[in-house]
Amino acid sequence: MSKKTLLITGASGLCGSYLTNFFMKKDLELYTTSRKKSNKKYNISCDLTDFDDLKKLPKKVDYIIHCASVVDEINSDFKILENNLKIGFNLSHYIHQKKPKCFINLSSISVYGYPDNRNIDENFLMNPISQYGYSKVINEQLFLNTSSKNTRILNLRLGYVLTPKIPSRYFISRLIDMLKNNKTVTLFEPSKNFFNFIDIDDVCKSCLYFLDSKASGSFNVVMDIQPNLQQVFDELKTYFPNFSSKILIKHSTQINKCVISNQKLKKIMKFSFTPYCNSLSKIILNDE
Amino acid sequence: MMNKMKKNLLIVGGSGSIGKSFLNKFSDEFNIFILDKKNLKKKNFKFNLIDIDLSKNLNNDFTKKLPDNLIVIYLVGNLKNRSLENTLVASINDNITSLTNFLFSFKDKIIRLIFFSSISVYGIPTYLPIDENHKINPFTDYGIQKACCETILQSYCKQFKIPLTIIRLTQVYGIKSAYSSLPHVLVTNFKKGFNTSIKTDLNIQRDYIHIDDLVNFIKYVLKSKKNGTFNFGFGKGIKILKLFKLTNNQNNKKPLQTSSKKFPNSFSQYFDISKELLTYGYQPTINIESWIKIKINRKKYEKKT
Repeated sequence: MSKKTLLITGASGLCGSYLTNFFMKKDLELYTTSRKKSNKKYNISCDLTDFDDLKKLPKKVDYIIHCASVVDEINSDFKILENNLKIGFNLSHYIHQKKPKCFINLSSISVYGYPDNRNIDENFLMNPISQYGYSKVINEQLFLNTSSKNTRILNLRLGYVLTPKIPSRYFISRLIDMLKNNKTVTLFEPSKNFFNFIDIDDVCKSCLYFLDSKASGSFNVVMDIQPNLQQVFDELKTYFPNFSSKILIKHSTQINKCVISNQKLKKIMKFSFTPYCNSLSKIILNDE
Repeated sequence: MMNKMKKNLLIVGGSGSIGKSFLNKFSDEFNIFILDKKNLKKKNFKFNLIDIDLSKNLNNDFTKKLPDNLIVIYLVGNLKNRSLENTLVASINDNITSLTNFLFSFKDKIIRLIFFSSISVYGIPTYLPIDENHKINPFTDYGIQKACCETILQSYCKQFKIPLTIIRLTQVYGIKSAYSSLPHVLVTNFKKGFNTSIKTDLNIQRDYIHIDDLVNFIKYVLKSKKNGTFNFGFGKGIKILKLFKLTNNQNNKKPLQTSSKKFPNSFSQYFDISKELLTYGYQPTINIESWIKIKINRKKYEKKT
């Protein structure tokens, strides 16, 4: 029997690169897409915002994990939404034509718009505040409602993804930098400001699980326990015993009070998720 | 019945207020088909109706109910703003998913597509009057979703060589769905004998277009083979204050609202329609001031009271 084909979009991105390494070891015929040119045989260099580039994609595909996205939660320009919409629409057309068995869309908890609520399940009101979150809501609906009935669609709403190597723009990166270099640290509402983390290993495991499960629909993909800023800081500080600079606690209204629930996912998944302490430890070790 | 001498016109979202205004006006020249999720069937309804919800995954069989070579007027639009009932998802499906499903199912049958967009795709104007080169910068859900539809159409129609006309409309009046808009509210309140008050800056200017002008304009568009993106409105801004003055009921003791408060969210918007004039040459004829004057027939009401 020939191997099943898996296509991973956005392979040069944060999630895409880890997923590619993870699925490379599985018994699958792997293809990836990225805008950047790559020497890797399985990579298709293409721009998914361009409809014409769809013809570069595999003629036959069994599974798709869609990671390609313009990630920008701050910019309010319509272009962010527009580019993500183009990717969503073009891929909708591709899956409408190719009818894969399973399509996993890596969505985001930004679809909820970070409301002040401690138990956000998948039925919670979608109220995105960023263009990025808005594009995620639109694409979720496009994939769900335009595909063939033979394609299982999964919208995985990922939290704040922790990878051993994290981008320097990430808050956690900057916090580690302050601790390492003994700089003054400013913490905004440390007991009320929450992080809905998820470890990249668990994103990979979830995708693997969903490829051949019978499940479909939307799932929040976050850790079991979501720490607040104080807990994150205390945990990180243990790795830097020489840190002796000032810690300023400040008031702010621009904090994340929402806590996402993973109960729906936990009901069907058999493994336990990596706790945040372990994920943070991997980042520190990688940094060393 | 289908007349082979006539062209086929499919009106998607034909049961809405604008759609209904088109039906009888175009039936002499076209075989008319309507696609909508609302049941329009009434006694003696002479048009071919296909009742389908485009926002759900479609079974392509239903496209067989329609002939080939369709000129399409696409009117579907959900104007609802966000609420606690997840109306955002509903409006996304009505506006964006429906269009996507329509294109996926009908791309081989469409010979021309006329899509109705909105002035709201421009957001708060950076200059006036707004021409078609103005930046697309929507901020309302409706504006964002219409802009998304335009993006989809531009790319898809180019790919499949479907001639595309996008018409960005200002506020249309003279139809049922506009009864809650300012011109209608002012007229209704005048007839009831009281004045209207709204929380906005009365000095802002808006552009209103009457449904009869829109219908006549579409006739011009259908006759022409030219395509592109066009603004369509009256092409002139009118101060809200002027409309209020016209409908100021002098017998009412409540004075006309002239608040000195500033309304930072109020802004003027009106179109430059010269591109349309140059291409199709339709000059709108119904001025909102004259329409209001006729509607309220001032003398009649003043004599009475």
